[in-house]
Amino acid sequence: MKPFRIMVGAAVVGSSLACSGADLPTEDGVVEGLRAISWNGDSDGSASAALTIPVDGESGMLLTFQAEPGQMVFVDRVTSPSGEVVLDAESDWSSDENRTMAHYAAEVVSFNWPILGTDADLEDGDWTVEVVTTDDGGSYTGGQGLVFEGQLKSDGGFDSGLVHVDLVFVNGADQEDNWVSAIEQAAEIWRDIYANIGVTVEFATYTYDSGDLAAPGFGDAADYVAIADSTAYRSINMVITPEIAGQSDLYGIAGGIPGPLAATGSSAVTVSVAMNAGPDLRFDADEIRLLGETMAHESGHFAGLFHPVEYADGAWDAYDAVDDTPRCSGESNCYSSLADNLMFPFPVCDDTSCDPQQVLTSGQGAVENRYTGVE
Amino acid sequence: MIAWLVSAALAGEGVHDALWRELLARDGFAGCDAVWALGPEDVVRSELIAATKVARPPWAPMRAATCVAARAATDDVALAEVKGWMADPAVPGLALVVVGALDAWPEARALPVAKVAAARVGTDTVFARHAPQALAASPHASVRALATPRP
Repeated sequence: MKPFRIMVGAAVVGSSLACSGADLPTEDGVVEGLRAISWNGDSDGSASAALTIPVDGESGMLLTFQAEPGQMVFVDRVTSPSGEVVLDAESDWSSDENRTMAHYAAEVVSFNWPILGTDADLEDGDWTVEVVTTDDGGSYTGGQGLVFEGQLKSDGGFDSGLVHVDLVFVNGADQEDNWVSAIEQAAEIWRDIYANIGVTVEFATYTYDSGDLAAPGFGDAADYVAIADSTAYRSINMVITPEIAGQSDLYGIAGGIPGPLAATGSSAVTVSVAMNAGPDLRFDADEIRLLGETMAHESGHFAGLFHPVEYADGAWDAYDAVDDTPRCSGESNCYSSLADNLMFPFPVCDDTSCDPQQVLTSGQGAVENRYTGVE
Repeated sequence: MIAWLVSAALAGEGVHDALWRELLARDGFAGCDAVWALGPEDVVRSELIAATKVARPPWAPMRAATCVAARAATDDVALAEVKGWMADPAVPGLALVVVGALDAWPEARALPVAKVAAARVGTDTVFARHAPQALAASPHASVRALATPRP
């Protein structure tokens, strides 16, 4: 009887066999300082596919796999040239620490390495990445088409970096003077937050002709691809929409943890202006600060950051893998130790104001600086 | 500083805390169905309506409003509340939430509210830039007929 795997967060039932042979991606040259590689292929009869990623002097890599529409893929295992397994989905599924979403099945998944400041440097040589394809119910399904794009960066170091953010206004979000002013001011707050971890943020502004867009990864894939194709390759696209279509209760969402630089339906962080402006649809000073924190928070996810603690089903019992964010337990302890952290899962407010949440630890900064999109 | 709303008039501290955890959440809002399942309907409704009047964080009253507006399709108390939003010039955001919810209402219930929305387009500049396209996209023909191009 073949072994089954039960995956936390998305039911995946099936089996995974070790795959033999691994394809080499095509070298696509250097784009905006990133070595670009790509591959198209199919998973085999056991729903597996493997790629060899040659590394030669680079310091970071971002690998993005895209399944066929309606299908899903996840990264099952990543092995270094020296044989170290740096990611094993089955191990991570049972961990109370979140390092990446790459091992949870989705139509688009991205894996960045190294992730943490405690991870070893990116080793030269041939890395092996094994992925598994599933249907939309999570059952392993072989013979599925896959599209892969990868970017490798060569950084001088991870103590500081530069991230390009494209602010993309859709559906008239740029027609409200109060909103545009709020976003400009919020961007400066975001810039100040990231400066504390050595990351400089440079903004460019675009408009894109569309209605409200769905959350990245949940619809309007063609629009998100078009946006990615029209903005800088090495940038985070932040889509500013009056409402997030189909999910009007969302205030903002990242297209992945980490998110892709490749042009996919998940290649953006999307923010709802209305949800962040509130019932009067106008931003006051406090709301502008909150908006800046929101933009920084969601882009933090896109760069690979998780909430330092997660609350679910009455328990505070899941954490990020960053070594200097406290592992708290219980509401009082978690609020007292983490409530001022940018990535805390809740704001801290009374009915007239919210406390600033702008702290990022050195360990969280290390994650951001290692994201391949950060120069 | 942890601040939970005073809710002396409302039963069910458990409902209050659980509901506000959902309204506050930066990511992972469980959705209105899960919110309505947190307790007795009248208690949850009262909590949600109270939450629409809170200022901070701004997404909490908006999120509460999506749940009230959705329930107004069948709930007369919720309907009365959303009608108040449609008439209140101070809350165009809540009015937009209502317009977005009309798609799921029965057409006969949606139309009167849509008419109020169409009239508001003439007096509320911000509302006018975003409401007409929602009306125009309605599955209800009578609502679509009310849509006018945005300025």
